[in-house]
Amino acid sequence: MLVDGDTGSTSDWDDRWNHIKKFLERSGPFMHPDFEPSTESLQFMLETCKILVIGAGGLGCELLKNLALSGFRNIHVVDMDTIDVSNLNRQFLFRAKDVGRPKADVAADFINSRVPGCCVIPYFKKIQDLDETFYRQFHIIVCGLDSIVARRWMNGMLLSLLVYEDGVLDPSSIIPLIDGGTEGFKGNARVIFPGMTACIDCTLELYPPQINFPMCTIASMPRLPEHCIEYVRILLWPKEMPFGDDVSLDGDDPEHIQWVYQKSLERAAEFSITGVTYRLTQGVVKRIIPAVASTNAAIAAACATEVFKIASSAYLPLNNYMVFNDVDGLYTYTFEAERKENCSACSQVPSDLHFSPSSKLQEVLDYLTESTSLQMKSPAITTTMDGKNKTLYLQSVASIEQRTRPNLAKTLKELGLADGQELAVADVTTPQTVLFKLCFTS
Amino acid sequence: MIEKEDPVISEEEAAQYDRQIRLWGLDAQKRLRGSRVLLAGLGGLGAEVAKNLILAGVKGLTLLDHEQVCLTGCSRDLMIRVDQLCSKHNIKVFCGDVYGYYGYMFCNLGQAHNYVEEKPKVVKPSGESNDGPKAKKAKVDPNETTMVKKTASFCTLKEALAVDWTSEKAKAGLKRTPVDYFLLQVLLKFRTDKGRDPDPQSFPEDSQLLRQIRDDVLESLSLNSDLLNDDFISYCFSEMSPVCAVVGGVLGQEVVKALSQRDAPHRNFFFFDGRKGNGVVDYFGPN
Repeated sequence: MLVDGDTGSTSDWDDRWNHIKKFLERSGPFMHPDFEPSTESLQFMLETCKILVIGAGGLGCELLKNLALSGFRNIHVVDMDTIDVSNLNRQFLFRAKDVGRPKADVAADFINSRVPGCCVIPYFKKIQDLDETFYRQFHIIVCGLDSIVARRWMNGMLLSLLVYEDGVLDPSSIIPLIDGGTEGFKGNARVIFPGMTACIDCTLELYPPQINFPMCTIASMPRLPEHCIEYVRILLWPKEMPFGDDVSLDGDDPEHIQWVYQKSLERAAEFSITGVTYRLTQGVVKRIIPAVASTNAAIAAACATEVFKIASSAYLPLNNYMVFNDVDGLYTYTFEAERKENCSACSQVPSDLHFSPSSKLQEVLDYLTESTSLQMKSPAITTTMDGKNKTLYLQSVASIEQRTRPNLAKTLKELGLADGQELAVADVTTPQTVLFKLCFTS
Repeated sequence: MIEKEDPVISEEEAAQYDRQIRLWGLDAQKRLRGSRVLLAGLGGLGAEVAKNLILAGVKGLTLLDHEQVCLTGCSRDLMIRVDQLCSKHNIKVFCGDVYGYYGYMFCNLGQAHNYVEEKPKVVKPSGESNDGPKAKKAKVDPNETTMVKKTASFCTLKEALAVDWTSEKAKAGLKRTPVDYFLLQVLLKFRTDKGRDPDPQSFPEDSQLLRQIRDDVLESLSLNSDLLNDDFISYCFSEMSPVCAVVGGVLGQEVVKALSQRDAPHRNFFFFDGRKGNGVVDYFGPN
């Protein structure tokens, strides 16, 4: 299969990259206005260009296939998960024998053996375990993530790498981020130039709210089988602790699911609700999202095309958000998402927090988590007082949470906070602390 | 071809196909599990379709390809013959191709393709609302869905490609007609005349021929030659792999839908323009 070719380091057979050369070595009416055909783009793509793929799941497998076949040879892939049997209906770089192994490792092995010359380096890690020195080395980053929190973190990381000189953005510090997402028959692909175009947080309100049923419905007036299951998960389990006092509900444990299923059936019977099945129970407890190969193929293709266009500078990138939906017929649409002027992530404007001095700290905490433009998960609030760092409230470390919990009931005045005081807020949604300015209302 | 007996889904399969069973149901998955598919053509598009169908869990996939790796597809006449032969024996036919940035998919599922759609049962509002203000925000999801049986009829490929554009009604509908249909006619004629697809090695001659064929095809249909302008010529050479992925994704999903007899099939063409990122479904054939 391999024939002596003319490129030095790896044996490329004759005409191997002809399909790419057709795009890069001749001009055409739809090329980027600044593009000049040459052999340099292909050399850059084959030898120098470094791409980071985040996620080696449904989108990741397709992305790795597309990028490797398009001539990218320096690819790194990060994924914190191991392979599950339910992945095999679409994550085609994996086989039944690979179940239990890290996705990044198996994906890299597959591509490296299948595509001669391609070098995929895997990282079996969370994105948060890697730092800015790691991310800074890439030319383009493409994401196939399954959580909004992770996307926001990645977004924040790339924003933190931006360099401003005298208020002007240094373009060489920009790392383009191409983000894809799918759910069943729906998907989207978007191109983000951090600091220049709309970022993830600019369009946070576009994401539909997570389905959390109201507590009154779950507790007293269920109508759906899902309500019955949530009742067991949220209310009954903590009350009965069926597998021991310290044992929390594990969605991957069939015995746990079986227990929840039985109890949900009982609850459903009480209210004459039908439709509780083992599969539904598992889906609700694990928040399972249906997934299929075809949607992932289409979205990953759109993302990989953008990587190619940007890496080669030969075409104008997607501008900048494409949606895809084949639930009923087929719908696809591309629009230009706009930057939010006061985006908490990418605008240089520090946000003001407007509260009266008699407001309690709890109200500030609620605002940070409930505001649609911030949607923080478990913010930690600190400030500087008398030159020293003071933690006002922090949830993630039990001892500090206990110590600072009384602060939530105190007013801002009682805590010694002044008008104009800066509050630094840390949260899982961003790698950098967000600064807020306290503005007292009368 | 779908087996008459309901195949059994083992526990391992139920786990492996869990994520898609949640999308289209266990019955649909069982039908897939018993179906055999013939896939003709193994270029970029064929490879993507093969991947998507195997991942979906069909019983058997027979691969048919008589060409060398860099040549493509079936001639128009061959497709029409296969389509007619299959129609006679109630075998569903799918055709698809990718030409550069442009791709299409056609299907003929027979004169009476039966399928089901899962629809929410219409619940009459009870009048009183004792759920309080919070429930007004939550959607009223009825807890029961029902399977609605539907039938769709399809015409043959021959009929789809032989639409008459001379009538007043047809001409009036021209504005809403995707130009991709005519582009397909041009590319199929090129394949018939030259025995191959446009080849970048002969770009100047093939471009010239494409222009000529465009003029001939539109004239033979009694249509204006500016219906399809020259732009397409540079963009229909070779096979763009992302376009193969998109069209292959859609085509694979259509095969799954037809085999599982669940959800409305695209009737009867899907066209994809990779330059614009546009996809469109439309019907061409006798009314």
